[in-house]
Amino acid sequence: MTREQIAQRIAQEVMPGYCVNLGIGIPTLVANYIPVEKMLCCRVKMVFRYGGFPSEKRCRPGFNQRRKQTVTAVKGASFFSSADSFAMIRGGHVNLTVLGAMQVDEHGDIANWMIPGKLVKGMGGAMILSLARDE
Amino acid sequence: MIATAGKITVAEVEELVETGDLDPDQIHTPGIYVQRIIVTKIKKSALNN
Repeated sequence: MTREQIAQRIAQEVMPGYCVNLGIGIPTLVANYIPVEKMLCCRVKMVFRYGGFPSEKRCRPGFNQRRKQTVTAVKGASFFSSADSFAMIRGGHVNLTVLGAMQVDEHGDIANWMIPGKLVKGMGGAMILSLARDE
Repeated sequence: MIATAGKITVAEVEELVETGDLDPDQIHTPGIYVQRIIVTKIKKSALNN
């Protein structure tokens, strides 16, 4: 299975009107496969209703998500801070979260520490995101 | 900010605009915090009296 196929499969889990939190890595690709009409609230840190990666023509330097990859904003987008995104998470407003994990076991235990020699910021929001779920 | 605290947040608005009319940078309360919208036709001057 390719990264794109995995992202396409995850995109099928997104229902209309969902508020989705997308993590770093393959989760970021998911936004590329969510049809615009289905996309009510989709965000990768700080952009509400963001579209997929831009084509070269539509690319705007400086308009990035957290991993510094450029993204697009669809009609009706709004920008918000990292603090606001955690308020949404803690307030239980997020319907679906897709974590980008480094190490995970069959029980779903996650170990997101660091990759030696690489600049990836540790645990990220995974701890609070997994705590904030409803059931 | 109080909109974030309510289980149901009702927004009484003077003007309802089309999606995309608002500047993304000017939105301080994303729609995810608002569950109901009521557009009132009452003019401001009437409220002041």
